[in-house]
Amino acid sequence: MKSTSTAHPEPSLPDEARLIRQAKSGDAEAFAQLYDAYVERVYRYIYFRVSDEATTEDLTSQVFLKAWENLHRYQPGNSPYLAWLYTTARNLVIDHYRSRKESVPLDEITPRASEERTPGEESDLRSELRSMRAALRSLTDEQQQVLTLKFIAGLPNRDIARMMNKREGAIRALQMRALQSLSKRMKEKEMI
Amino acid sequence: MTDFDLILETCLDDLASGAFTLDECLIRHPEQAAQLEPLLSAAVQLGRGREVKPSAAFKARARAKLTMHMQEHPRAKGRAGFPFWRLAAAFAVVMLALLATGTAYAQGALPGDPFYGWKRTSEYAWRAVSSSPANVDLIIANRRIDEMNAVSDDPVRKAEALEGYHEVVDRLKSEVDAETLERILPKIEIEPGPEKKPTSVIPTPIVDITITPHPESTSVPLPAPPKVQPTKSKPKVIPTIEIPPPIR
Repeated sequence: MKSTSTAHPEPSLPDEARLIRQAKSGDAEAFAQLYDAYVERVYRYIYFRVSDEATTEDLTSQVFLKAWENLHRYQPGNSPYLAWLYTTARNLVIDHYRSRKESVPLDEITPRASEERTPGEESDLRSELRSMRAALRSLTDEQQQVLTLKFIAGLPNRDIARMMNKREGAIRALQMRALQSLSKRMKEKEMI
Repeated sequence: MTDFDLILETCLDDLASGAFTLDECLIRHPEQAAQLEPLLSAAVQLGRGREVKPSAAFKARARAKLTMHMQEHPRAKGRAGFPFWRLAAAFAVVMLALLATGTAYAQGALPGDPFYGWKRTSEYAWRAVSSSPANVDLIIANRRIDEMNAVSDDPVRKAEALEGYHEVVDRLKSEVDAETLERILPKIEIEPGPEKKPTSVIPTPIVDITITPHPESTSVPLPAPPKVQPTKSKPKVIPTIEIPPPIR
C-alpha cells in the first residue's frame, strides 16, 4: 500500500558533534563514520537534481572529498552538518551544469531503487521515480531546491531558509508555488 | 500567511507525521479540498523519493576512495579550526581587567600625574551612565577641591584642578535651579588636614562662589578665586539627595 505521508526529518547522528570534533583534528575514521551516516541522504538529494546515475554517484563522492578538505570551515553553531553537506552538494551540482552544457536524454535515466523489492515493485517504482524526476527537473532551480530539501531530504523550513538565504515566509511561498507547478506537470503526465 | 497557506502547512505537517492520511486531510477541510488535493498529492509523490538509495557497491567503492584520499591528504592534527572566538574572548577579558585595574589606580592620581587624564575620563564615563549626573558632579567637585589642596604647593597643578572645579561648577549651574543649588552646596564640606590648612573648601552659594588663594602661594593669575571657609566636620559618607530636573 502506497504511503500517503510526506517526507519528515530523519534523525541526526547521536554522537555527531564528537565525530566532527575528532574529524576536524584529523581522525579519518571519525569522518568515515560521518560518511556512513549521511551518504544515502546526499545521494538522494543529488539524484533528483541531476539527470543520470553515474553523475549522481560521481558528485556524491565529490561531496565527501570536498567536505574533508573544507571541514575546518564548518562551524557547528552555524548550521546542522547535514545542511552544510547539502550546500556543498548544491554547489557541485551547479558547477556540474556550468561545465557540461549537454543534457542527458531522459530515456537514459536509470533510477536505482532499493534492492529489497520484488521485480514488479521495482519496475513500478523505477517508472514512478523516473516520471517524478522529469517533472521536478522542469521546475526552476529554486523550486527544485525547496521541494527536494523539504519533501525528499526532510529538512524543516528554518534550515531551508538558512541554506537558501531567504526568510521562512518566502520559503513557504516558494514551496506552495513549486507544489502548484509540480502538480500541474504531474497531472499532465497522469501521475496524480 | 493566508488561511489557505496555514491549512496547507498544517496538512503537510500532518501527512509528514502520519497523523492523518491525504483523504483525512481533505475531509477535514472540505471547502479547500479541491485546491488542496493536487498540492498534497504532489507532496506525497515527492515523499516517495525517499525510497531512492545508493547501491551497496557504490557506497563501499566511494568509502574506499574517500579513505585513500584522507590518507593522502591528512588533516593536520590539532587543526581543529583555530578558536578565534576563544582568543577574542580571552583578549576581551584581559582588556577589561586592565581597564578596571587602571581605572582603580587612576582614582588616586593628581593633576600632572600620568594617570590624571584617565581619572578625568573615567569621571565622564561615570557621569554618562549615572541616573543622577548632578550627584556625580557634586562628588567630582569635592574631588577637585581635594586635589587643589593636595597640590597647593604647585601653582600649575593647582590651576589645573581649579579649572576642573570651575568646569563642574558650571555644569551644576546649568543642571539645577538656584534654590536647589543653595540647598545642596553646603553638603560639600572640608576637614582640616594635619598642616592646619584646609584640605578642601566649602564654596558659598553658587551665585557668589570664590576661592581664596593659599596664603603662601606665589601669585598666579587665577580668575575670581572662591572664598575659603573653615570646615567643621566632614561627613563620613558623601550624601546623595534627590535633584529635581533642571528648569528649562
